[in-house]
Amino acid sequence: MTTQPNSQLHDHVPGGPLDEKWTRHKFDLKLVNPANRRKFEILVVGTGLAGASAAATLAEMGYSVTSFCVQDSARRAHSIAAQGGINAAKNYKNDGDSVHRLFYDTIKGGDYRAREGNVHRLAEVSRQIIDQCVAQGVPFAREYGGLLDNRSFGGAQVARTFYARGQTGQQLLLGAYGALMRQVGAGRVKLHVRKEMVDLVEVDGVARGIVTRDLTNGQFERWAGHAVLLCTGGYGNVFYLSTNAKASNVTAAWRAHKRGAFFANPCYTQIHPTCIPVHGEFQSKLTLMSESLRNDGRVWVPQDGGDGRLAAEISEGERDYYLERKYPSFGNLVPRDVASRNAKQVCDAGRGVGDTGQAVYLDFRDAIQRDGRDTIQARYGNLFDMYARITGEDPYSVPMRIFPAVHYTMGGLWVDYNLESTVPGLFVLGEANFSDHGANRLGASALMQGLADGYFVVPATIASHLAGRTLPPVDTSHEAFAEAEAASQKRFQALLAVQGSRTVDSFHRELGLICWNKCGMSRNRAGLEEALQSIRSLRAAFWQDVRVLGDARSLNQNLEHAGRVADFMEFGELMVNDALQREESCGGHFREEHQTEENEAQRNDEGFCHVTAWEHRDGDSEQQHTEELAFESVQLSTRSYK
Amino acid sequence: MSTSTTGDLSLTVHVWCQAGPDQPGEFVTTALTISPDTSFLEMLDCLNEQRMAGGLEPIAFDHDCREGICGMCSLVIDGKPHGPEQETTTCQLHMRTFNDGDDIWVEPFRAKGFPILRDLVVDRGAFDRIQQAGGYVSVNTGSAPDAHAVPVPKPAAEEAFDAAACIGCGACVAACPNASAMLFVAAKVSQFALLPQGAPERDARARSMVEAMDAEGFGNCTNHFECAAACPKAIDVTHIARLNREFLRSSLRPRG
Amino acid sequence: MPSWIGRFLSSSVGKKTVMAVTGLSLVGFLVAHLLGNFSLYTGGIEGFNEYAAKLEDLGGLLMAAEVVLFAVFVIHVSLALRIVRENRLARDEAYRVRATMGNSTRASRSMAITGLVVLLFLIVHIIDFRVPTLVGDMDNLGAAVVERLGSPVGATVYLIGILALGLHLRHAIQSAFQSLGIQHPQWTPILRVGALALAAALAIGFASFPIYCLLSQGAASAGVN
Repeated sequence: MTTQPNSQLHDHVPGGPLDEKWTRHKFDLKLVNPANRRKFEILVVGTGLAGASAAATLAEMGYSVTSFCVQDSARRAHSIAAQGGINAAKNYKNDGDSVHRLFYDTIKGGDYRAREGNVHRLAEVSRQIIDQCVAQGVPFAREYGGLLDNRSFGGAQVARTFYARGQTGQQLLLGAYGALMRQVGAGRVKLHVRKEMVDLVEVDGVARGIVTRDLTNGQFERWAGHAVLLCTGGYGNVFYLSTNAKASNVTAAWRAHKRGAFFANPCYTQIHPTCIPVHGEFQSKLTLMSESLRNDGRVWVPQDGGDGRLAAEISEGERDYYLERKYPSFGNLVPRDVASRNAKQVCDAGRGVGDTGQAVYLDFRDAIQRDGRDTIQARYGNLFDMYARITGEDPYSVPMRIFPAVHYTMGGLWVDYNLESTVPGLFVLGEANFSDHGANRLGASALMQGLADGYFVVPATIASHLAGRTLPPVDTSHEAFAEAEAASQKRFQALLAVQGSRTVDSFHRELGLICWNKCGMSRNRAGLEEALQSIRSLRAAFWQDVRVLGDARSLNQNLEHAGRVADFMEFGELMVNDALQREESCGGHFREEHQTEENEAQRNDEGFCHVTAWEHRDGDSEQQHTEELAFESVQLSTRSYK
Repeated sequence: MSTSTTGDLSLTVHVWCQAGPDQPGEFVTTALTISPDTSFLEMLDCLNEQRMAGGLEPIAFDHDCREGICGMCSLVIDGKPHGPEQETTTCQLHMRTFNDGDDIWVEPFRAKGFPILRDLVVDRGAFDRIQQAGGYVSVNTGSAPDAHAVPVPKPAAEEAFDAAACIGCGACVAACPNASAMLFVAAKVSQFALLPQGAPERDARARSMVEAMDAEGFGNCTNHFECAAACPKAIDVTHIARLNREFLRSSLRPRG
Repeated sequence: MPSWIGRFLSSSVGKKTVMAVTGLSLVGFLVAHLLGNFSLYTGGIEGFNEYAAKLEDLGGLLMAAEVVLFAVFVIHVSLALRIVRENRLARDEAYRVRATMGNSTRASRSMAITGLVVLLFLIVHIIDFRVPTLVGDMDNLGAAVVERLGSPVGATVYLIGILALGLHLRHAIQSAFQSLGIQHPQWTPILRVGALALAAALAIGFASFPIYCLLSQGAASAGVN
């Protein structure tokens, strides 16, 4: 692995003052004549917040759009599961919020590892997003006067989070889905469900199509277009257990990576502090509970390790409210990475609770005493019900047990200011790209970014590609399609041909465990090097011993899963490599070698104030590139929540 | 398989298997020991691992988020869509609901509007097509006024939310003795009928969504209200009354 | 017929509306019928015959009312048959395990059967009393009613018919309000109780006649012997 700083990475952030860049850029961008737009075929992969909003908006503008998703309906994309809310710098609460403050909080929250220009644009368009969603009929929470309510979320010092009970992601996605359905009904979007993208097709170095596999009958199909938009979400399921949906996967992004799209910062994964702990060997996924719970719940563990008593039997003096103790000014509301890491530390010290010792208490006793059970029920009733349903325990009478879980991935395919990857014509939106959250994402910012990319950014910037490049006619008979389809067929046949003895799931679980233990909440060189070896040998074992039943010509969920796990195996190695080379702690990436005396993350701004982007080379090697991050408007400082 | 520990449930699970859309199907029976703390879908995962260990193909079933919000999971368990618990999707149903020694019957959602693709997987594309007929507010990106331009009374917003909570799972259809999709359609029509943003397209929406629903081969609502009892999001039949009213109103007004 | 009416009538919600309107009209008729029948209690057989004669005196008006009633009934029944057929088709393969979710009732699930029984009963009822009066074959309608309803066979037939009617109405009346979109957070629960009370009142009211006749015939024959 060698480093070639900036060798191919032009961020294309326009010049000028930070708050004028986006306006200026929009003006400077080439335009596509409205009459010509329908001649451009745009392929949009994924129908989450980013994909649905982009497909709908591009179709509204007049482009011909074809949209794909792996689920049975566009409405199922995992954006739907986001609970908390969406940030916007509306300052409706008159508490001093502004575009600049949202920008600043996001940059700082990301531990200064995001691009200033992108983040400022995100803060700018955040306001339009709310306008758009309200106009679509998204039922945001309102006050008695009929105006929108806001709350403070994830430790923000201003109330800028718009929310729809605990189902904000669902309501925003249904808004975007509605917009998409409107365009499908009008014939301007052709929607294909239960189709998985299995390869990207490039002609003359430009993304000109994709190959999909129909999940109902195994058929491979070729789709040609003038641009490809990947809106395929994050790679959290490399950890097997995560809060992601079961079908969330890295395949589309990984296939694009293997065709030349650089993968940036894969080591940045977000571990969410308030999830329901693992219960047993068949656990298939982890369930997140909104971190709004931390507004009233107090996090604690017993003072002494090995305390097997029930929570109620442990007196006040024997409890360690460790977040309140260590971070008196933020207390239980410290950012996600800090809360997660501290939970791991106390559990590693043997002070964890529950059967597995891999949990900490989130206690509402004091809040119920202070505000009354009814108030707490009104605030968190649905979350308490969910907890009771899953664990069989009543959180009103015994403290919740929580543990961190993989939740979001800040890394993703590298994109420039236009959201275009290193493959011309390939745009990457939402969680699938790396752009706006740096090393750590703030609460209520994922929905904002997905919709910003889809509603406002790509519909403007895609013209730079469509109008700026000569795109000769290409159809699916081009040999590049034949090659990509043949390669895909071969890959799936190879999976069926192994005929080994272990199930796909068992490999996935093992991979997940390696990643979680060695490349999870905290990492160190020895562990990462070990993980690298383990993943390599696991991957070899997978290709020798996996058993995929059924055939390639029918609905075969086992084969689907096998294809995704095969890609996760390759991706996992890159993630670990990335964590290995980043000799610092920042945001979600905590390297044990790099911590302060108080066990806080220690950034290395001299050596690592950059994006690491990986280029896939023939023979399975990865070439490292960097994009230096220049900060003009903010001073780099150490995040402190003391 | 898992080593049996005290408290584990021994179950006999009968699952509908069907190789493809037009193939005959049958129940296959599997004996299984499982911890009461596993979820229903994890039980099926386990059952599939057991099948695969014996060289049998796993049973196909739809699922995705496994936290009760995406609407992808389905299943009729012992005659009830999403199983015996109220306001619970199959993915959130846990095995502690069942007793040691139980026989459990697992069937797909059955309706002409939801053709079976394989085993327990059905095609709910009809719901998407109904949405396409009018389940939206026609507002192009970028053309929206400020979010505070139109206040919405809190009670209307709350009731609209109750309807908007629909996850499109299709349990209402599966539970309805007539396989009617009224609750699904009502939820969308009602949400927009309650909000000022939905007002301009109110008439056209009610008419065209009902027409689209009828075209999909769903049955007619006869007010059994089984849908509401099956709905994992507790959407009430008052929304169906509102749909009836909206449809009547729109039918009596001139077509635009 | 303008096309919008056709579209309305063939839509699932339109059909519900028509079922509700025709159904409620028939309920209105039942109420009038029952009130008329009470003349048997207030005036005995003579009083009943006087009431019948008054109706006959309406002449053309009565005829018109009956034609309308018949038409309403035919619409209600034929639409019901169509709905039942469509609903059967909407689920081609039945569930192996049948379970109710708890909101449907025996009455709601047996609307087709109770409707059919009511239809058969109505045919018997018309042959019993309306056909003979129409062709002028019946001088003493009141006596015929008491005789027919007072016989064990007659009483059984009528009680079965009325029971079916009661079950049908138990679901039908409150359901009609829902179908017409009449829904109000405060009023609907009251309306629903009222609908159930009306259904019960109609069923009990009608059922009282065969029971009354059975008892009075029994008393009469006991007196003769």
